Amino acid sequence: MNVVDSPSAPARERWRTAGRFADVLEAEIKTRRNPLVARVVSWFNLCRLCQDLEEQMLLLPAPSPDDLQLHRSLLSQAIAAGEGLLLECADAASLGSLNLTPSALEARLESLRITFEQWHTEMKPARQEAILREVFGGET
Amino acid sequence: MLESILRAQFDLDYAEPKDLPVSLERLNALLDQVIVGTHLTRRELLSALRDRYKEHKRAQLLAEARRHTV
Repeated sequence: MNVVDSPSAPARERWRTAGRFADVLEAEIKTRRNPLVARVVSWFNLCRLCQDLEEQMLLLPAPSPDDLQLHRSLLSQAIAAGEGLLLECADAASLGSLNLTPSALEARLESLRITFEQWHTEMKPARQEAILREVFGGET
Repeated sequence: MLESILRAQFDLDYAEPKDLPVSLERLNALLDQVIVGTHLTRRELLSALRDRYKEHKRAQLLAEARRHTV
């Protein structure tokens, strides 16, 4: 199949499944009786789901409103869950068994926020153009 | 510099968890270099780069897909 073809019905079903899977991951992340490191791993998996959906949308001629809504919803879930986890990671050693520090969560969160802004906020084309001209001049 | 920023954001998107802080620092350093002397924030510039970044990411994904089908 050409990678830019419209997604098939099975592909759309996979995306719906992804939405349900995201709900399961979110529940795992929020269940405080689970070890913190397990919840952090679930969160990174939720971030990966967001990335997968974004990749699928980029390979389409134009994502549908449903695709965009699902992407927005997954990103919002991941951002909220990550912010909650970060509050529980005050101790820098809490993620030591994953060989991570809370700064890894902060950086992924920032990347999610950037993605959210780039996909789901408005910027007038004239403003966009003015910023790029101001910063890059003729390079763009 | 524009290409470097697009690549740095792409690297951040796909960084392994342990490499995320360094990837973010690299992106921020590049952004800071180009917005110095303006009233822009890093986030405003990235927001203005939305279409360029989507094109860049799409091209990378297509190249990767082609490598896997060859």
